[in-house]
Amino acid sequence: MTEMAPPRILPVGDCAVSVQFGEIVDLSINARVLALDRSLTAAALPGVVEMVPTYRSLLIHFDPLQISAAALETAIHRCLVEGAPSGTAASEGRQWQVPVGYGGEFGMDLSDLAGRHGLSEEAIVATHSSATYHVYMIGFAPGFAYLGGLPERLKTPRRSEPRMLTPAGSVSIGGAQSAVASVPLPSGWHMIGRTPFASFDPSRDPVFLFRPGDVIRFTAIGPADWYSLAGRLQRGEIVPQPEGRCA
Amino acid sequence: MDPVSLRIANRLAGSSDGAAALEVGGPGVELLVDADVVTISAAGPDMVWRIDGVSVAPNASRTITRGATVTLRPGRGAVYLYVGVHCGIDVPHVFGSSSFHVRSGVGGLAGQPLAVGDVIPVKARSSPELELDGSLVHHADDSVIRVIEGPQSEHFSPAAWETLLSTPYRISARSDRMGVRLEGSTLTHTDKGYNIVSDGIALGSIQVPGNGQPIVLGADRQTTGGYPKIAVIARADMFRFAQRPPGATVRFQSISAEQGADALRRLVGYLDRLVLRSALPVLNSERLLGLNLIDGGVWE
Repeated sequence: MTEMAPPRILPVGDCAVSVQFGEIVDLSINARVLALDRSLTAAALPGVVEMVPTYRSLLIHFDPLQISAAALETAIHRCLVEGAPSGTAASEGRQWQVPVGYGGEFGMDLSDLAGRHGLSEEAIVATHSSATYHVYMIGFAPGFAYLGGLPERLKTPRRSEPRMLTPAGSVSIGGAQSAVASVPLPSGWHMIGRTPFASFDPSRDPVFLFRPGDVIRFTAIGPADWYSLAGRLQRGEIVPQPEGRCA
Repeated sequence: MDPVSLRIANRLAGSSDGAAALEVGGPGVELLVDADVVTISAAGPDMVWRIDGVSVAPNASRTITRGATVTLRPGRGAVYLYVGVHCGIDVPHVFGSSSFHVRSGVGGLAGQPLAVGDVIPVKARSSPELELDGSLVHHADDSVIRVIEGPQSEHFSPAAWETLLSTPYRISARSDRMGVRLEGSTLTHTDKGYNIVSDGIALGSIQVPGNGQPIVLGADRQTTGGYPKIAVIARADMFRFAQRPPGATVRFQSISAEQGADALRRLVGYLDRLVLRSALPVLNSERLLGLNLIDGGVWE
């Protein structure tokens, strides 16, 4: 294994710092983020308000009246040197088959996206639903699952102006990422489909369906199946379940 | 969105800093008291309120009784006012907060914003009537907002940074608790572009999507996002920024993170030294008869 570059510690205003391990979607970078998250959580520093692990950086919200940025930076370096407590998120990863209605009323941007890439809608759906995706992080909105593993030829820059509202359950593409949305949201991503699975339900335990380290595959379903499944899920007749743990 | 006015509203109501209160935007609200007695407060820049049609001093608390009607309106040059209730509004804590998050429907009353006819649960208790001694800290030059260079400054040319600091930006009407959109000179990305692999977002982050028009992320912001952030508003100025109404302009001024922390320390010092004075009660026979003095329910 090659020597890894030390992370950059970037101020994010006066009440947060970002520890940036890289700028790309990469499993080993994500593993280092999650490791620092665990060691700083274990350190329980006074003045650290909240931590947000992402694909490639850890955002640390802090109260500068309780801990100075310099003291926090020293603590971060100590955690980086000492390494993380044992146990990795990936070892608890589960496998999911997630049903998706692609295009039409479910994915308003599918035809536009097909045009951009010079592919048929069917080819986009086949490519998107044949890949295996890793859940890198939960963020943006409650339960919103950010996925890595988008096939290279589906990479698409975000819309230049975000939409004010997109539906819950949207499956979308933004840059090199794909995602499953949880609640209605503004978004600059391309909406290619929608799942009837609720990835966030405040009345369910756990409230989030997916966890970082989980693996997702999408299955294309037609409108009739989509509505039938949505109805059964809503009535509580079925509950989304993972297929099993990853090896 | 304006934690300073919220804190002042809670202090005026004799409540703890974290007590649940109402944030009132738009044209305002009318409340009908359906409790024997309650002390309520109102705070916000240039706010206006009346009890049974009688004008009340801004940034004050009053003890009122069943049947009273309270009308409240945010200041014309502001966006929000805050209504505190003695002992706080009685809502359950969800994920450690009594706030309501509109987009996810989490918290608050019945998972929805307040609507006409809703009942706001309070404890029927009173505390002394108070007024803020002096004016709100908001009345410093509200149009100058201090910022700290953001974590993706490399996605912008020096010219874009210069533009952000030297030209005015207007608050768009397409703004809410999640994001305040700004309209002004276009901020151009370098060839690193306007897509980043999503990272965390701090309160007050100024993200710039591909159209070059900045968006300031507010209290209900997303936790993570993928547009580059050119700057972050100093925490000590965020409450003033949040009170700038649509159509108003702001100018940004660059400071360091250390200077931001110092400014925050001074703001917290101001809040710690807040002087609240007793409201001089206007006693007339109607008011005396209206208060239930016999069982001591007014002054604890």
